[in-house]
Amino acid sequence: MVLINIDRLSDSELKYIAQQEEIDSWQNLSREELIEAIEEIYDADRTVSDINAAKYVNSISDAGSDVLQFPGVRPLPQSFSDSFIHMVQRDSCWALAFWNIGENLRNRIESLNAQLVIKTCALSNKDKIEESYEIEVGMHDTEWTVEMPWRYKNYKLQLIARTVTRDEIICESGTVYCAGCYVADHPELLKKEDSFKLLISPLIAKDGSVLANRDVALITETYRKETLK
Amino acid sequence: MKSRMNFIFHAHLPFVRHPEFPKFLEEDWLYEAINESYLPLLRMLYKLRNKGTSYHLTFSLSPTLCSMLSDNLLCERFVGYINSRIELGNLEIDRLSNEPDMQKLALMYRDNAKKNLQFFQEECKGNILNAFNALSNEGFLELITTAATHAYLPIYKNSPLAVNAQIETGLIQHIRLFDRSPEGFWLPECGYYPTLEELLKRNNVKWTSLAAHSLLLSEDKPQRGNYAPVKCPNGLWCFARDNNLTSLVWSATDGYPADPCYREFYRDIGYDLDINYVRPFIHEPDVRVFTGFKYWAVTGKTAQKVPYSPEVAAEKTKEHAEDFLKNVRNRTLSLEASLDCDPVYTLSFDAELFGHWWFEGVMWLEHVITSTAKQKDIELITPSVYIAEGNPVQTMTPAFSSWGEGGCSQVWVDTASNSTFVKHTIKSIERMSEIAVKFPNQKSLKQRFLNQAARETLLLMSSDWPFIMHNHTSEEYAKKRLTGHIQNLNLVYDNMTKNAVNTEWLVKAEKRNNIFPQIDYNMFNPEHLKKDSPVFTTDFTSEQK
Repeated sequence: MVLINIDRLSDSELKYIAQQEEIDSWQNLSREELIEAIEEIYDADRTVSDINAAKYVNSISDAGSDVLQFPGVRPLPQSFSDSFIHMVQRDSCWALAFWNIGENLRNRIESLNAQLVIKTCALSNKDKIEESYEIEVGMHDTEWTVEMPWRYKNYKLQLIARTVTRDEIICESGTVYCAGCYVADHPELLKKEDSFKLLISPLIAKDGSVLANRDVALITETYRKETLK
Repeated sequence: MKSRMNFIFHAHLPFVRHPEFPKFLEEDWLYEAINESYLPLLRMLYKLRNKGTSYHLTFSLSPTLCSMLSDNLLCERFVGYINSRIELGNLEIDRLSNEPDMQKLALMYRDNAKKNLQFFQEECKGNILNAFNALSNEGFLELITTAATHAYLPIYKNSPLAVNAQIETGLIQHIRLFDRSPEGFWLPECGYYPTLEELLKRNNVKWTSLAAHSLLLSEDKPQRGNYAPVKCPNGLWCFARDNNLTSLVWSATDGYPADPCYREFYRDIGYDLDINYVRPFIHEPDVRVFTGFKYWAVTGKTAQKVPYSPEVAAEKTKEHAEDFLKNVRNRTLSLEASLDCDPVYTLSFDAELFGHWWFEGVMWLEHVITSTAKQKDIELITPSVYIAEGNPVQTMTPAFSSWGEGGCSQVWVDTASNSTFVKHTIKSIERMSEIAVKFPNQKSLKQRFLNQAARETLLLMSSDWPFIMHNHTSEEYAKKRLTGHIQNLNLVYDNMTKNAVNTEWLVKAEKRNNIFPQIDYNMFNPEHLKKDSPVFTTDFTSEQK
């Protein structure tokens, strides 16, 4: 929830944040300089309107929470003993792939001087590989964001060790479905007078902005083109 | 045509409970929400009920929040918190004796705290859930639940056991606390993926609420847009949010809360006054926090604020309530030729927006309810009432969606901030399932050990920690919480593979993370999904709460 921007904060709040963030010479900075310095630290790649002022409150709340561990626990492992690859969908067309290669297998792959490959496979109704593409990854990589370019398909990933003579499939992920969209596939529907009222108006905010989603943006763009024809 | 408003207020906070510290900063999230949102909302709803005003609203109360609201330690600490607000109010009234306008505000805050405390002790009998339950029993509120620890479910699509554990545990917790099975289920962050409805129906859920674009992006042709609920092929009802009307309230830049005359949230004496003065009301070591005493109006995008006037703000809430209803009516008028039924507007909000973030939000809602009660062309409904009416409904499968930034899972699967923990969480779920299969139906100490592992797994899945990391807010605390739950699960996993139980760990973990006393780790065994959900068979009415 974003209610208020950084420029609504008082000078004393800004100075307090700057102090917390250990900004050099914060005592001598003007208001504008403070805002600039804080924005740089927090959100170099975001717009000012994205900045949730709540962070300034919450960022100081770490004090007192440094003794949360229980007895007997061990640090998080950097890797696991087994080999696996997982696929988690991020949006309609992209998924996060992450994997682990067990130590023994890793040693063998390295000794064979094999190339690791992520194969993104679109499946037929009978779970046969219909389309695919490959990404070469390094032995130290553990994640990649993969595209699912074909709609109405299930996808799975294969982690492959490739040598000159053969491909060895190390492991496969579960499947992720890349759905289609009826409205996007039927732009003629958007020519109808009721389409805007029924389908698109509930997604448009008071200020005229459309809900931030790539597929929604494509549909509204199509709607505009269709109605301008 | 009649306009039908389906307000759904989602009340949720992550489970934060640290008995090992006498005072813990993150616990203030709960106390602030109780003092500034839940109690003011309940007081307003009681007032309307006592005046004979009819209303129908839906409240989603998350299982983590319910656990904290009914926790003796946290309730005692809340009373201490509110008494300290009263004490600060008294100090402020003295300090501002030469500034009558400001003093009036200090008096208002102190008296609000007193009224809240009185309501908490007399009407709620020390447990806010009692007041929600009473309003539900009288037909004013429909109470629903959500995933056990507010897990963002689409991430775990390929771990149906974990998704089911979240749904089932949330429902059982609700039944345990309210003696009835909820009809509805709030999807955390409105996160939906096709086939999720199968697990919801398995657990006897009748309806859920979805993000605004979930119907537009479906593979099926939407017939009535978001103006009527739809039914999944398996019979689950889905109500899609109206982004247009909710943006009137929600929008950061143009929403009602940004009006210049409303109270400025971020100007608080916890930050503005001398450290020696506020020290007893902030956290050690001199960590400034909000105290709730705020004297300035939003004014504009400037540091120079004008004093806050409650009278002017109160007038504005009436104006904004009427504006909201006017917008609803205008939308209905525009739909007359296009729609074959009365439009239903699903208006879902975080409950904490009202009172906490938007101080006047409770008053605005009161005006909306009061004004609606006097009208014939506009009414408040709840999903269960709508479903019972037998209205025509389209059968379709909604699209993968959430109400988060980007409309899908971008916030919770973010390679720049939280994806490392996604990996560990999925691995932890696999490990939990592995030990549940290897050691089924254990008794005594091992059962406790495995049950605690199940709690840690559920707590690890909370959507709040990756959200916080994505937004770069309380990152350190979020990382420590995630790391701690993973470490705890790993400890049980390592111990069980050696046929051992670490009792020192168990006692401490059970004491701190005491959520879900009824948990059964066997729900992480794949055999569990082959049986009927215990939601149908569990009777908790005789259980001591």
